[in-house]
Amino acid sequence: MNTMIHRRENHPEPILSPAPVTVQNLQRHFREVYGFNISQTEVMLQSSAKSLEQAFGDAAAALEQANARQLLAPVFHGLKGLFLNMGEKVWAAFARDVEEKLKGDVPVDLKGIITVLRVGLTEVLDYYRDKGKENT
Amino acid sequence: MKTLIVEDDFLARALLSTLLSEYGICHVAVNGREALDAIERAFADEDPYDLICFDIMMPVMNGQEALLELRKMEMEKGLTGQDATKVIMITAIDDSKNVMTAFRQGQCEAYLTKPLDRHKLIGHIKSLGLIT
Repeated sequence: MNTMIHRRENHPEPILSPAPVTVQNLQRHFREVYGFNISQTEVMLQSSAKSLEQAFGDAAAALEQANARQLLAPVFHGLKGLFLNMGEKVWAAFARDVEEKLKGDVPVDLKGIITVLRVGLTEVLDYYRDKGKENT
Repeated sequence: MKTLIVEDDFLARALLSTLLSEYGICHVAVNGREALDAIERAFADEDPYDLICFDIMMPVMNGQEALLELRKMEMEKGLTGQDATKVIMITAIDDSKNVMTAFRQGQCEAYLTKPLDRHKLIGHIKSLGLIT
Protein backbone atom coordinates (compact mmCIF):
# COMPACT_ATOMS: atom_id res chain seq x y z
CA MET A 1 0.00 0.00 0.00
CA ASN A 2 1.36 3.45 -0.90
CA THR A 3 1.20 5.80 2.04
CA MET A 4 2.30 9.32 2.78
CA ILE A 5 3.07 10.42 6.31
CA HIS A 6 1.82 13.81 7.46
CA ARG A 7 3.37 14.92 10.74
CA ARG A 8 1.60 17.55 12.79
CA GLU A 9 3.22 19.31 15.73
CA ASN A 10 0.11 19.02 17.89
CA HIS A 11 -0.42 15.32 17.24
CA PRO A 12 1.58 12.59 18.95
CA GLU A 13 1.14 10.14 16.07
CA PRO A 14 1.59 10.64 12.33
CA ILE A 15 -1.53 10.46 10.17
CA LEU A 16 -1.07 7.68 7.63
CA SER A 17 -2.69 8.67 4.37
CA PRO A 18 -3.91 5.99 1.97
CA ALA A 19 -2.99 6.32 -1.70
CA PRO A 20 -5.04 9.01 -3.48
CA VAL A 21 -8.36 8.02 -5.04
CA THR A 22 -8.27 8.23 -8.83
CA VAL A 23 -11.11 8.79 -11.28
CA GLN A 24 -9.83 5.90 -13.39
CA ASN A 25 -10.05 3.44 -10.48
CA LEU A 26 -13.52 4.66 -9.60
CA GLN A 27 -14.72 4.26 -13.18
CA ARG A 28 -13.31 0.74 -13.28
CA HIS A 29 -14.97 -0.10 -9.95
CA PHE A 30 -18.44 0.99 -11.03
CA ARG A 31 -18.11 -0.74 -14.41
CA GLU A 32 -16.73 -4.02 -13.11
CA VAL A 33 -18.52 -4.42 -9.77
CA TYR A 34 -21.94 -3.11 -10.76
CA GLY A 35 -21.85 -3.63 -14.53
CA PHE A 36 -22.73 -0.01 -15.21
CA ASN A 37 -22.46 1.54 -18.67
CA ILE A 38 -20.61 4.81 -19.39
CA SER A 39 -23.46 7.17 -18.53
CA GLN A 40 -24.39 5.24 -15.37
CA THR A 41 -20.74 5.25 -14.32
CA GLU A 42 -20.65 9.01 -14.84
CA VAL A 43 -23.70 9.40 -12.56
CA MET A 44 -21.92 7.35 -9.89
CA LEU A 45 -18.76 9.47 -10.17
CA GLN A 46 -20.74 12.67 -9.80
CA SER A 47 -22.74 11.20 -6.92
CA SER A 48 -19.51 10.14 -5.19
CA ALA A 49 -18.15 13.67 -5.51
CA LYS A 50 -21.42 15.18 -4.25
CA SER A 51 -21.34 12.87 -1.23
CA LEU A 52 -17.74 13.87 -0.52
CA GLU A 53 -18.55 17.59 -0.83
CA GLN A 54 -21.48 17.08 1.54
CA ALA A 55 -19.22 15.33 4.05
CA PHE A 56 -16.61 18.10 3.86
CA GLY A 57 -19.34 20.70 4.37
CA ASP A 58 -20.70 18.82 7.38
CA ALA A 59 -17.18 18.41 8.77
CA ALA A 60 -16.38 22.11 8.36
CA ALA A 61 -19.61 23.05 10.13
CA ALA A 62 -18.89 20.56 12.92
CA LEU A 63 -15.39 21.94 13.47
CA GLU A 64 -16.93 25.30 14.33
CA GLN A 65 -18.90 23.79 17.19
CA ALA A 66 -17.83 23.12 20.78
CA ASN A 67 -18.98 19.49 20.48
CA ALA A 68 -17.09 18.93 17.21
CA ARG A 69 -16.03 15.38 18.06
CA GLN A 70 -19.60 14.30 18.76
CA LEU A 71 -20.81 15.87 15.51
CA LEU A 72 -17.95 14.46 13.47
CA ALA A 73 -18.42 10.80 14.47
CA PRO A 74 -21.50 10.36 12.21
CA VAL A 75 -19.72 12.25 9.42
CA PHE A 76 -16.90 9.71 9.49
CA HIS A 77 -19.40 6.88 9.76
CA GLY A 78 -21.02 8.20 6.58
CA LEU A 79 -17.61 8.48 4.90
CA LYS A 80 -16.87 4.85 5.80
CA GLY A 81 -20.02 3.67 4.00
CA LEU A 82 -19.34 5.99 1.09
CA PHE A 83 -15.78 4.72 0.62
CA LEU A 84 -16.99 1.12 0.79
CA ASN A 85 -19.48 1.81 -2.00
CA MET A 86 -16.69 3.55 -3.96
CA GLY A 87 -14.58 0.38 -3.67
CA GLU A 88 -11.99 2.20 -1.55
CA LYS A 89 -11.45 -0.25 1.30
CA VAL A 90 -8.29 1.40 2.64
CA TRP A 91 -9.99 4.78 2.84
CA ALA A 92 -13.00 3.11 4.49
CA ALA A 93 -10.68 1.67 7.14
CA PHE A 94 -9.16 5.14 7.58
CA ALA A 95 -12.62 6.65 8.15
CA ARG A 96 -13.62 3.84 10.50
CA ASP A 97 -10.45 4.37 12.54
CA VAL A 98 -11.23 8.08 12.93
CA GLU A 99 -14.87 7.31 13.81
CA GLU A 100 -13.75 4.86 16.51
CA LYS A 101 -11.23 7.34 17.94
CA LEU A 102 -13.89 10.05 18.05
CA LYS A 103 -16.31 7.75 19.84
CA GLY A 104 -13.59 6.46 22.16
CA ASP A 105 -12.37 9.91 23.19
CA VAL A 106 -8.90 9.25 21.73
CA PRO A 107 -7.00 12.45 20.79
CA VAL A 108 -7.14 13.11 17.03
CA ASP A 109 -5.81 15.90 14.85
CA LEU A 110 -9.11 16.71 13.18
CA LYS A 111 -7.86 19.48 10.91
CA GLY A 112 -4.93 17.30 9.84
CA ILE A 113 -7.31 14.45 9.02
CA ILE A 114 -9.56 16.71 6.96
CA THR A 115 -6.48 17.90 5.06
CA VAL A 116 -5.40 14.31 4.39
CA LEU A 117 -8.89 13.56 3.05
CA ARG A 118 -8.96 16.63 0.83
CA VAL A 119 -5.53 15.85 -0.63
CA GLY A 120 -6.35 12.17 -1.18
CA LEU A 121 -9.65 12.98 -2.89
CA THR A 122 -8.49 15.97 -4.95
CA GLU A 123 -8.74 14.21 -8.32
CA VAL A 124 -12.35 13.15 -7.78
CA LEU A 125 -13.42 16.54 -6.43
CA ASP A 126 -11.65 18.40 -9.26
CA TYR A 127 -13.16 16.09 -11.87
CA TYR A 128 -16.63 16.85 -10.55
CA ARG A 129 -15.99 20.61 -10.47
CA ASP A 130 -14.62 20.53 -14.04
CA LYS A 131 -17.67 18.55 -15.21
CA GLY A 132 -19.91 21.08 -13.50
CA LYS A 133 -18.22 23.89 -15.43
CA GLU A 134 -18.66 21.97 -18.70
CA ASN A 135 -22.38 21.64 -18.02
CA THR A 136 -22.96 25.34 -17.32
CA MET B 1 -42.24 -3.53 -8.07
CA LYS B 2 -42.67 -0.17 -6.32
CA THR B 3 -39.66 0.68 -4.15
CA LEU B 4 -38.83 3.37 -1.63
CA ILE B 5 -35.13 4.03 -1.06
CA VAL B 6 -34.43 5.74 2.25
CA GLU B 7 -30.84 6.94 2.29
CA ASP B 8 -29.10 10.25 3.07
CA ASP B 9 -26.00 9.58 0.94
CA PHE B 10 -25.97 10.64 -2.74
CA LEU B 11 -23.92 7.71 -4.00
CA ALA B 12 -25.88 5.02 -2.13
CA ARG B 13 -29.13 6.52 -3.43
CA ALA B 14 -27.78 6.60 -6.99
CA LEU B 15 -26.53 3.00 -6.76
CA LEU B 16 -29.81 1.67 -5.39
CA SER B 17 -32.08 3.63 -7.72
CA THR B 18 -30.02 2.64 -10.77
CA LEU B 19 -30.03 -1.03 -9.82
CA LEU B 20 -33.67 -1.21 -8.73
CA SER B 21 -35.22 0.98 -11.43
CA GLU B 22 -34.67 -1.98 -13.78
CA TYR B 23 -37.47 -3.70 -11.88
CA GLY B 24 -40.01 -0.90 -11.46
CA ILE B 25 -40.63 2.53 -10.04
CA CYS B 26 -38.27 3.89 -7.37
CA HIS B 27 -38.93 6.76 -5.00
CA VAL B 28 -36.31 8.24 -2.69
CA ALA B 29 -36.41 9.78 0.78
CA VAL B 30 -33.40 11.25 2.58
CA ASN B 31 -34.40 10.41 6.15
CA GLY B 32 -36.88 8.37 8.16
CA ARG B 33 -39.36 11.22 8.56
CA GLU B 34 -39.54 11.83 4.81
CA ALA B 35 -39.92 8.10 4.30
CA LEU B 36 -42.89 7.87 6.66
CA ASP B 37 -44.57 10.77 4.84
CA ALA B 38 -44.09 8.96 1.52
CA ILE B 39 -45.35 5.68 3.01
CA GLU B 40 -48.46 7.37 4.43
CA ARG B 41 -49.20 8.97 1.06
CA ALA B 42 -48.78 5.62 -0.67
CA PHE B 43 -51.21 3.94 1.75
CA ALA B 44 -53.68 6.81 1.29
CA ASP B 45 -53.46 6.35 -2.49
CA GLU B 46 -53.98 2.59 -2.00
CA ASP B 47 -50.72 2.05 -3.84
CA PRO B 48 -48.29 0.98 -1.11
CA TYR B 49 -44.63 0.18 -1.58
CA ASP B 50 -43.66 -3.42 -2.29
CA LEU B 51 -40.14 -2.90 -0.98
CA ILE B 52 -38.45 -0.37 1.28
CA CYS B 53 -34.67 -0.14 1.60
CA PHE B 54 -33.65 1.65 4.80
CA ASP B 55 -30.27 3.04 5.71
CA ILE B 56 -29.91 3.25 9.51
CA MET B 57 -27.82 6.26 10.43
CA MET B 58 -29.59 9.29 8.98
CA PRO B 59 -30.40 12.77 10.29
CA VAL B 60 -33.87 13.73 11.59
CA MET B 61 -35.07 10.12 12.01
CA ASN B 62 -32.94 7.02 11.68
CA GLY B 63 -33.88 3.87 9.79
CA GLN B 64 -34.57 1.74 12.86
CA GLU B 65 -37.05 4.28 14.23
CA ALA B 66 -38.72 4.65 10.85
CA LEU B 67 -39.00 0.88 10.48
CA LEU B 68 -40.74 0.59 13.86
CA GLU B 69 -43.11 3.41 12.90
CA LEU B 70 -43.86 1.62 9.61
CA ARG B 71 -44.74 -1.57 11.47
CA LYS B 72 -47.01 0.39 13.86
CA MET B 73 -48.73 1.98 10.87
CA GLU B 74 -49.23 -1.44 9.30
CA MET B 75 -50.59 -2.94 12.54
CA GLU B 76 -53.19 -0.18 12.71
CA LYS B 77 -54.23 -1.06 9.15
CA GLY B 78 -54.30 -4.78 9.91
CA LEU B 79 -51.37 -5.44 7.61
CA THR B 80 -49.25 -8.18 9.14
CA GLY B 81 -47.30 -11.23 8.00
CA GLN B 82 -47.31 -11.64 4.24
CA ASP B 83 -49.29 -8.39 3.83
CA ALA B 84 -46.61 -6.29 5.53
CA THR B 85 -44.16 -4.30 3.43
CA LYS B 86 -40.93 -6.11 2.62
CA VAL B 87 -37.96 -4.28 4.15
CA ILE B 88 -34.24 -4.56 3.51
CA MET B 89 -31.83 -2.69 5.75
CA ILE B 90 -28.70 -1.49 3.90
CA THR B 91 -26.14 0.09 6.21
CA ALA B 92 -22.51 0.40 7.20
CA ILE B 93 -23.49 -0.55 10.78
CA ASP B 94 -22.67 -4.21 11.35
CA ASP B 95 -22.95 -4.61 15.13
CA SER B 96 -25.13 -7.45 16.36
CA LYS B 97 -27.38 -5.15 18.43
CA ASN B 98 -28.54 -3.26 15.34
CA VAL B 99 -28.93 -6.44 13.32
CA MET B 100 -31.06 -8.09 16.03
CA THR B 101 -33.16 -4.95 16.53
CA ALA B 102 -33.90 -4.76 12.81
CA PHE B 103 -34.93 -8.42 12.60
CA ARG B 104 -36.69 -8.90 15.96
CA GLN B 105 -38.37 -5.55 16.55
CA GLY B 106 -38.56 -4.27 12.99
CA GLN B 107 -39.20 -7.63 11.35
CA CYS B 108 -37.03 -6.72 8.38
CA GLU B 109 -36.59 -9.36 5.69
CA ALA B 110 -32.86 -8.83 5.15
CA TYR B 111 -29.93 -6.88 6.54
CA LEU B 112 -27.15 -6.01 4.09
CA THR B 113 -23.94 -4.22 5.01
CA LYS B 114 -22.09 -1.79 2.75
CA PRO B 115 -20.53 -2.06 0.24
CA LEU B 116 -23.74 -2.64 -1.63
CA ASP B 117 -23.57 -6.06 -3.30
CA ARG B 118 -25.70 -6.16 -6.44
CA HIS B 119 -26.03 -9.93 -6.49
CA LYS B 120 -26.99 -10.24 -2.82
CA LEU B 121 -29.54 -7.44 -3.16
CA ILE B 122 -31.21 -8.87 -6.26
CA GLY B 123 -31.02 -12.37 -4.75
CA HIS B 124 -32.93 -11.24 -1.67
CA ILE B 125 -35.56 -9.47 -3.74
CA LYS B 126 -36.03 -12.60 -5.85
CA SER B 127 -36.31 -14.79 -2.76
CA LEU B 128 -38.99 -12.42 -1.45
CA GLY B 129 -40.95 -13.08 -4.61
CA LEU B 130 -40.94 -9.44 -5.68
CA ILE B 131 -39.19 -10.15 -8.98
CA THR B 132 -38.61 -13.29 -11.00
